[in-house]
Amino acid sequence: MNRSKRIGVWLGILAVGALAVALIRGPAPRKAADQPAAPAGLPGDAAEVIRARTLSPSDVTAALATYTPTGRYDEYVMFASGGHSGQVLAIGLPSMRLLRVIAAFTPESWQGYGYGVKENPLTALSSSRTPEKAALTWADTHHPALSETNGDYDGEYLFIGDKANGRMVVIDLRDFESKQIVDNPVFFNNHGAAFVTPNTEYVVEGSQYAMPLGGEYAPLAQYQERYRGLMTFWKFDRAAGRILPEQSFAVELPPYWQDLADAGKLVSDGWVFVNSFNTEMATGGIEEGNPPFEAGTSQRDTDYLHLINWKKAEQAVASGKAETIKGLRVVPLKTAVEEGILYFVAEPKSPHGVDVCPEGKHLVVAGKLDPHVTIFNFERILGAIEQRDFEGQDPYGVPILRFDAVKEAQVELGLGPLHTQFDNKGYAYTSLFLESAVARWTMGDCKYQAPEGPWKLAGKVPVHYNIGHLAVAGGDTVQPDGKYLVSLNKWSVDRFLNVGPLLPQNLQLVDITRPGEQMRLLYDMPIGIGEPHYAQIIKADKLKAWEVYPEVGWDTLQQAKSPNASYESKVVRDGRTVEVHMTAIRSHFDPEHIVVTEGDHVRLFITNLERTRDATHGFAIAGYNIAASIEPGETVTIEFDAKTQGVYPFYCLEFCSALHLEMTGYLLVQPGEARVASE
Amino acid sequence: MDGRARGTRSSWAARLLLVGGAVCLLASPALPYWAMQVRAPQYPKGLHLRIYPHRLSGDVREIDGLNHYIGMRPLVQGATTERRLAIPALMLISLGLLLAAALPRRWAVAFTLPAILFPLLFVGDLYWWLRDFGLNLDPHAPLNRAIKPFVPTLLGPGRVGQFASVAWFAGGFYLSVAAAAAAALAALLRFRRAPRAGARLTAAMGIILLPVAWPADAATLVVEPSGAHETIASALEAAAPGDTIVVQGGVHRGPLVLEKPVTLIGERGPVIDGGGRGTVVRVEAPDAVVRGFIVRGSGDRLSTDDAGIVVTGARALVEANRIEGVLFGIDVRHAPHTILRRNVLSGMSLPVARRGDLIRVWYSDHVIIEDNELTGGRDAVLWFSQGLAVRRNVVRRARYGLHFMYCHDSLVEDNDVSDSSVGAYLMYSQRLRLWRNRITGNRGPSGYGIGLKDMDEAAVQDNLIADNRVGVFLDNAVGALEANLIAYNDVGVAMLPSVQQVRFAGNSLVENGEQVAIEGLGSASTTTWRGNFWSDYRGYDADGDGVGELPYRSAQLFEQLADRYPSLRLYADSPAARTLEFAAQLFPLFAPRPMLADEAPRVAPLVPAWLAARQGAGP
Repeated sequence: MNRSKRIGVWLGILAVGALAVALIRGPAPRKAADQPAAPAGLPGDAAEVIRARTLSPSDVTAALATYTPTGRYDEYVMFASGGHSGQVLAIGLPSMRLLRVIAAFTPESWQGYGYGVKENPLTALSSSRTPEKAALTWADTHHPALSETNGDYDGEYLFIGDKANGRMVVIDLRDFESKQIVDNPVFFNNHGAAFVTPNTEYVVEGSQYAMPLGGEYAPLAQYQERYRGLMTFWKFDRAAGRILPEQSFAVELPPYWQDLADAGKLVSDGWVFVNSFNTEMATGGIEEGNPPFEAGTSQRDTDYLHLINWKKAEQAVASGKAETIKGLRVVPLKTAVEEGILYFVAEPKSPHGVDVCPEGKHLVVAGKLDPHVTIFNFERILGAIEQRDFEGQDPYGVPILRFDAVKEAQVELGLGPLHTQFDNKGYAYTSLFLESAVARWTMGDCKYQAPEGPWKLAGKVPVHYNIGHLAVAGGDTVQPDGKYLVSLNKWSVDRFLNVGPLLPQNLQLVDITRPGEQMRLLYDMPIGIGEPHYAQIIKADKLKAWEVYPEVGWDTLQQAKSPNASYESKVVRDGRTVEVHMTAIRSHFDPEHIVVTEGDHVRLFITNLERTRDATHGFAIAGYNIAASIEPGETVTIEFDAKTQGVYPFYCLEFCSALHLEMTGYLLVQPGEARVASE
Repeated sequence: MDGRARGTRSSWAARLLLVGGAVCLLASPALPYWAMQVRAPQYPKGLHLRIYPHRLSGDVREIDGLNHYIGMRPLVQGATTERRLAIPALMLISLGLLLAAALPRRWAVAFTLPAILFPLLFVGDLYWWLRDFGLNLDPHAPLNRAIKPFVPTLLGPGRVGQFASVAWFAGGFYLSVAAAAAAALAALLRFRRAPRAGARLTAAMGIILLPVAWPADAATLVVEPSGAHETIASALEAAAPGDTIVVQGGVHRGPLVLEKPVTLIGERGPVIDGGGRGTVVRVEAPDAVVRGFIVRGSGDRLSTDDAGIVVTGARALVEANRIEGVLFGIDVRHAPHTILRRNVLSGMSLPVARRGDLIRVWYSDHVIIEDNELTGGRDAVLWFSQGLAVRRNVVRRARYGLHFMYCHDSLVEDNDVSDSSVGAYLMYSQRLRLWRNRITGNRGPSGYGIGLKDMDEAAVQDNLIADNRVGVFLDNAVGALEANLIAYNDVGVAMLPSVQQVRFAGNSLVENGEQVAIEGLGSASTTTWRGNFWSDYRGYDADGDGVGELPYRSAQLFEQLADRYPSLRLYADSPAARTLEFAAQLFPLFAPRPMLADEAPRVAPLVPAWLAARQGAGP
């Protein structure tokens, strides 16, 4: 028997009992009703709290379901995009506590990310095609993707795309830090990024707003001829923890706006699916009397779900059928059609997700304006391709599979369905944007079977408000965990104390352990640092993060021993270059005096000698825009020019010990005449 | 002697006439000279314009607002000099009449001339300005392509796009005409030698006051077996713009494309059959008419939006057709001022998710959809279109009966939507008025009778909303719900707690399984609830003023549970639910939370007048 029923029955029994007593003995004394009743098993002061905070029975259950006492760990970790903060958030479930903001594209001083330390990809980023792009200090992170082995999260790496600038970051989950930023040389925007193939052979980056490939200029009048979409397959080298751009490739697509993607798995392994909008190829121009984009892209009733055979594309590239644009090998659209790499099927208008079920057999597409989700059957897709069961082709010659030949089912869920994930009980969960709710419905023909029978709406839970994506624990893998669902709501309106007109987003935790309509909203988590678009939830025990770096003198970018590691302090002067090897341990730097002359170039190698967990030291020099976070064992490299004479205190940024304030030193930049005098 | 006496009498009569004329003329600017009423769907009471010699009055700002779209200048820019001079001129003209009366000289009669000419001058000047305004439209106006330059009608009915107008001369003008007539008569009395001059004057005035009409010079082509045209296509080929093609019965193969502005009329039920491929009829030219056909057999491909009739030309009139066995029914794309009227539409027998919309209006302002019957399609979807009028349509067994997105300033009235998944769903629109609709039996998974999402200044009034899963659903909407009868729904009103600026007054909530549900913890107390009838109200009306003496309050523990577990609603009237409520009262540990209070609840339900009339009249 579940908990709420227990409460209900319990209340019922008490009520009936009290009614009986009341009938026998006349009206119950008023005083008795005023006293807080202490239910069996609850301490009396708990009843006091319940009354004082006016909690309902389900509030009490929700509180008990999420409260995590000190020292107890969460069962799951959710990686949520940080939206236009450019970062990634790691959040514990069920407590909904923020565990880590992972610096990805945006400088983050607490982590010493982007403030002078050379061992991070922001500083190491090269090969920018425009001066504007070289100066980027932010990103719009959208879709985190955990690395997978055999279609399940392996907890090793995390990838996320930068929608605004067409970039991709690789995060190593041994230390939860970013290691590589890859810049797409051919395309500016991505949205279907990142998704991974079942063994992380490729990290998939789908473009969004069509543009001429390679970033050349072409007027909008040449939209249909010159503008294109793109699906990039970034080759991932797991051992090196790096994307290998030279072994990557892309497939040219028509100038529709490709949206979210998902990789096939099991039976559909070898394929990537991406949906699209603006198959009208509207070019906007409201100021010229044209329909605005929002209208222009909504004219037709359907768009095209793109089916891309990446294994065939890989072969085409291997046999030299790709063209190289700005260093990226691109399979031309014509070749993609000829080689059977690209097919379309009509999908409901403006969808925002194509989600592959745990068995890889069904693809779920939700058009935001259709209250149904449409389920396509991958085996039938293969059959239709084989029998050339096409209902036509698009203007670029891409075959369109006959809708009725590949459709499995359509299930009416409610208004504004958007994104779907799955659990291990045979349910799928779809966010309903317009309705501000999550719909739970049953899969058919699935290894998991829900009690309601196939393709049926099973229940809904209201969320607050305007839900975008949702995440179920393991919900896009071959082995979903179920148990928890998080609703990533775009608006919070009235859910939190007013902190001014810019409101936090609201992430809501929903308990999905019990079947049918019994989904329970447990907890609201305000996010005041960005707009999480998408998230993945991994069982915490799959993550094997280091407690401290393996060795003292660790280069965290290469994840290897640093050649610049120092165990003793040392200053090497070579002409106008001064190399300072510095150690940090509670609670001093060594050396504490750095004496240089105006105009010297300073290379600073700082090694944290600590082996104690959490004994992190920071390093900052006044006036130099330098901030480092040096975790136990880590070696960092900082370079700067001592341009102006003066005295610059440096100090440890982390409160490392009782004598933390004393962990300091001076950078003494002598006037130029001193050099002349000494020489 | 005799003659002199008569002369004196007539002289006195002439003087009397002249003084009377002067009084009439002086009084005339107190009344409007010319008036016009514009009827537009979004202004149910119509817009009025009144023109005086010296000023404009009425809904000038509103009319300017409408005119702005077609590029007409603001009315106040017209006739500025005339208006400035009007009052002094009228005084001078009146003075002229008085002088003519006072001066015994024959030549003094000349002073009457301005008064005689004044009405003519007014009419001429008014016409000149109307013409100037109508013909000189700003080519950069948003709807410049939709409206060709035109001359607004001076008298009688006129039409511009969807706007019907009536113009007439008003009291002030007739006073000025009376003054002119009096002056002319007085002059005649004095100039008996020139009676014909006055007659001519009067005749000229009469001619000018006649409405002006230019009959079109159009031909009629007939399509019939062994006639000049055996196929519609050949008639279309031969037709000139403005021609009428009459099709006499028969079964004709589609697809048909109307590339010229022609009137295509079916008599004796001609059929246009698409043969199951693509779209059957495409109306591409503006100002085309398609009336009286049976259009059937479109393709069933979603990827090509196969439809019965696709309208891409502005100002089309699609009327009295039967459209059946089609994927999409009538698809209006970027064709403003189109009218869809008295069509009967039914879709293919497909699962609802696989069907097309029977009416689809995209990016087309000022479309009128009235008196159509839609059965078994997907939606009637109207989006990115403003100033729509949707009235007296019947929609059955659809998905979203009526679905609006980005349809500002639209009017939705007297429709009947039933047995669909959702009745009317209104999204992202401002100033949309939905009233006098009958919305019943909509019980899909959402099952909203009326849903409002992100609506500003919505007015939902006088509707009958009954037997839906949820009568009214509100999400982040601002507006007023007034005088609706919300009865026998599973949930009367469901709202997200973010809804805060809705005025909820004069509605009758009758025996809904749950009267109001807040979806998620929160209260509806920031919404204004006043003067509604609640069938579960337990108060009394001591003073007999129709308003209960105790507030209606809703704060039941059970309702909160039911919000969380919708299946509990099934037990809403069972003893179990009463036990829970009783338990909540008994154990304040879990105090019930107040949800809403109506301080002045009505004690009797209010039935919308249209419904009461229908019930009174019908069986």
